[in-house]
Amino acid sequence: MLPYSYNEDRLFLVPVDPNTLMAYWDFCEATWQKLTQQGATHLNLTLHCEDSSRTFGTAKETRSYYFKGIPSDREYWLELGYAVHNAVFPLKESLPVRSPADRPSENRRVQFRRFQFLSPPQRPGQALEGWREVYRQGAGRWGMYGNLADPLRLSTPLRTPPTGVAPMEDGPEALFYYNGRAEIAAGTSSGALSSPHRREADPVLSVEQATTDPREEQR
Amino acid sequence: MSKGYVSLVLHAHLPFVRHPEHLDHLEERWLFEAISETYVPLLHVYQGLVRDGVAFKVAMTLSPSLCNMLADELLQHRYVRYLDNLIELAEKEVARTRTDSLPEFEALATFYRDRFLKIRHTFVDEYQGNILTGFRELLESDHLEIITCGATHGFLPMMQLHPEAIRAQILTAVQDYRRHFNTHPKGIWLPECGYFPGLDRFLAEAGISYFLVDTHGLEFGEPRPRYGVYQPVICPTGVAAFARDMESSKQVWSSEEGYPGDYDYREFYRDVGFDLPFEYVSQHIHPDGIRLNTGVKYYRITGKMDLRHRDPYNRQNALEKAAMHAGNFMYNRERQIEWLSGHMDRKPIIVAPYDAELFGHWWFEGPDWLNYLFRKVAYDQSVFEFTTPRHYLQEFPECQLSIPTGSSWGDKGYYEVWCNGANDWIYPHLHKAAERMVELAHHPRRNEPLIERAVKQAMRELLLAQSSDWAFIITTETAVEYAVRRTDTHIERFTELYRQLVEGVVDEGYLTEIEAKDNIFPDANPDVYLAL
Repeated sequence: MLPYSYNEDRLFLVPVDPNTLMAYWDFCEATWQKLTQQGATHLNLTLHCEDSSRTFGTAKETRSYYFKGIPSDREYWLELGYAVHNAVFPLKESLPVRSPADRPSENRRVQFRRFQFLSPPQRPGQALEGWREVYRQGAGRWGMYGNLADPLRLSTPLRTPPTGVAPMEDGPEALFYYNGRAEIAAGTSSGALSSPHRREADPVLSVEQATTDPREEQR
Repeated sequence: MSKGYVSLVLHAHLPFVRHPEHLDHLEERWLFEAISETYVPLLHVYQGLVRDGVAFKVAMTLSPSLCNMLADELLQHRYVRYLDNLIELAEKEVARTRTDSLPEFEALATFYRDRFLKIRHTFVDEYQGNILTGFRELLESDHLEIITCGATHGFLPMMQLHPEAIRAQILTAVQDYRRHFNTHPKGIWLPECGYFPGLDRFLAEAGISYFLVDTHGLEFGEPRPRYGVYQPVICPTGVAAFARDMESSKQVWSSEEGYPGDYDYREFYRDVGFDLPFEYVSQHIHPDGIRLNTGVKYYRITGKMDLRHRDPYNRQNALEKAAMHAGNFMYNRERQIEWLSGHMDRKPIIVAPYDAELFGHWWFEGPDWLNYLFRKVAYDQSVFEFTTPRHYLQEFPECQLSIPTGSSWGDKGYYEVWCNGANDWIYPHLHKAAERMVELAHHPRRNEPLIERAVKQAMRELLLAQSSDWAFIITTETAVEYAVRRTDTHIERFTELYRQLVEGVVDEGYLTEIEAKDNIFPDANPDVYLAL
C-alpha cells in the first residue's frame, strides 16, 4: 500500500502540453496543522507567467491541479499558499517551467556548427558541472543553456554552411514543413510539400513574410 | 549517384516482465510473441539480405529492458517451452485440417508449423537462446546501427525535478549497452521520444551523439530549422537531433491509409486460441483457462464487416501485396527526395521511425514488406539510398544550431499520455523514491557488501517503477491492473529497502528474494546517482 503522504512540503509543476500545466503538492503534518489551526478555508494557487499572474482557489484537501488554456512557449512558476479570510499566506514556490511551443519559431537565425561524435565521459558528472546551479535558479526553457537569445556562447566556433543556399521565395524553410495531409498519396505524387504555416490565415507567418530575410542574417 | 537518403529506425522495446514466482505468467507472453513474430523474423530478413549481398542499412533500438530479457536464461528457457507448445499446436492443426478436408487451412497450418520450426532452429541452434548475438553480428558488419534507450524506458520529461534520475536512466542504459554489444552507443531513442530542452546535456555527458524527436519537436525548435525535418539540427551541447517525417510515417502507421490495414493481410484478431473449442486448445492457452492469442491465425482482414465474417488468409496474395506496397513506399520516397533535393544544398534525409513490434506482431507481413523494400531500393532505383543517422552525420557534419521544443510521439504530441488524471498519482511516489535513491547512493556504509547489494537492488526497483509503460497502459486501459500492480510493487520494494538501509539493518533473506525476481541490470551502479 503506497502512502497517502510523505509528510513533507513539496510542490511540483510540469508542462503537459503547450496549453496545460500540472501541479501536485504534499504537506508535512506541521503545515497541515497550521492550516487547520489558522482556519484556512482553501488553498491559493498563483500561477506566474513572464508578465502576468493569476490566482486559482481550490479546496485545501486537493492534491493536484491542471492549469488549462495557458499560452504556449512561456515561462511559468507557481506559488502555493492558503487563504484565511482575505489574507493569503505563502507556503511553497515551484521551480519555473516552460510550456512547449506549438508553432514554428519566429526566430529564423541560421547558424551552422560542425558536428563531431562525442566520446564517452572520462569521469562521472563531467558534462553536467555547473548545470544544477543554473537549473535550480530556474531560468526555465533556456536555463540549461543560459540565455538562448544568445545561444552561441560556445567554445566551439560556429561556421556558416559550406555552400550557399539557393535563393527562394518567402523564406526557404517554410517549404519543409509538413502540411498535415499526405499529398504524396499512394501511387501518386503532387510533387511538392506545402506548408500550412504559409496560409494567409496564420498571422504569425504574415508577420514573418514581411520581416527579415534569413539569408541576410546568414551573410 | 543518389539524391538523398532514407533512414528506417525500428524501436524495439518491451517493459521488463519476468516472474520466476509463477510457472506461466500471462504477461511474459508479450516477450515470447515478439520474439516469434518480430525479432527473429527481422533477423531472418537481415540475414537474407546479407547472404544475397544486398546493400542495406537500418537503425534499431534494442531497449535495455528488452536486452535484459533476451539475455535472461530463465526467459530463454521459458520461451523454448512456449515455442515447443506452439509447434505441438501447429502439428495438431496440420492433422486436424487434413482429417477434416480443409485444404486452405491445412496449407496454413503447415506454413505455421514450418515457420515455428525455423524460428526454433534460429533461437536454439544458431544463437543458443540469445538472439542478441545475431543483432550484434549485424552491428559489427555495419548493416545495423543499434541505438540505446532509457534504462527502463522512463519518461524523462517527468523526471526534471530530479536530474539524478534522468542521469541514472541514461548512464545505466549506456553501461548496459556496452555489456551486450561491447561498444559505445552513438545514438539514443528517447523513451516515447520524450524531450525537454536541456535533456541533451545528459546525453552529452554520456557521450551519446544524437537522438530522435517527433516532427513538431524539431519543427517548433528555436531557432526555426531551415530545412524542417529533412536535416538534423545540432544543440548547443553538440548533440544532434533527427526528427520523424510524417509522410513516410503515415503511409505505414495510419489505420485508415496505412498499408497494414489492407484486406489481403492477415487478421490479427482471429486466432485459433479463441476460435476453436476450449477442450481442443486448452493445452495451448493459459493454464488458468484464459483464452489468448496463440499466433495461429487463418483469416485475412477481408473488410470492415463484423470480425466473424472473414475470408481465409492467402499467404501468396498477402506477399504479393507486401511487394506492391514496398514498391509504392519506394516510389513515394523517390518523388519526395527528388523534390527535396532540388531545394536543398545537401542531400536530404527522411527519417522514418516505427515501433519494431509493428512489423510481424501487429502487421504480420511487415518483415516481408521490409525485405521487399530493401531489395527494391537496392536494385530498382537510384534516387535514394538507405542510411542511418550515424552515417548521415559522418557525411554531412554541418548542422544548423537549434534546440527542439518539448515533445513526445504520444497522442497529441506532448506529455499528456504519461501525465493525466488517470496516472498522475504515480509521480509523487516516483519523485520521492528518486530523492531517496540519491540519499542511498551517499550511504556511508556502501563499502559493506550487503549494504551495497541492497543499494543496488533499490536502484533496480526504482528504475523498474519508472518504466513509461505502466503510465501508458493505465492511460490506454489495456492491462491496467497489471501496470498498477507493477508500479506499487516496485515502489514498495524500494521503500522497504530504503527503510532497512536507513536503519542500517538489511534483511538478507528479503533482499535475496527480490534480487532473484527483479534481476535487471546485474552491473547496476548506484554511483550514477552521485556527482551532481
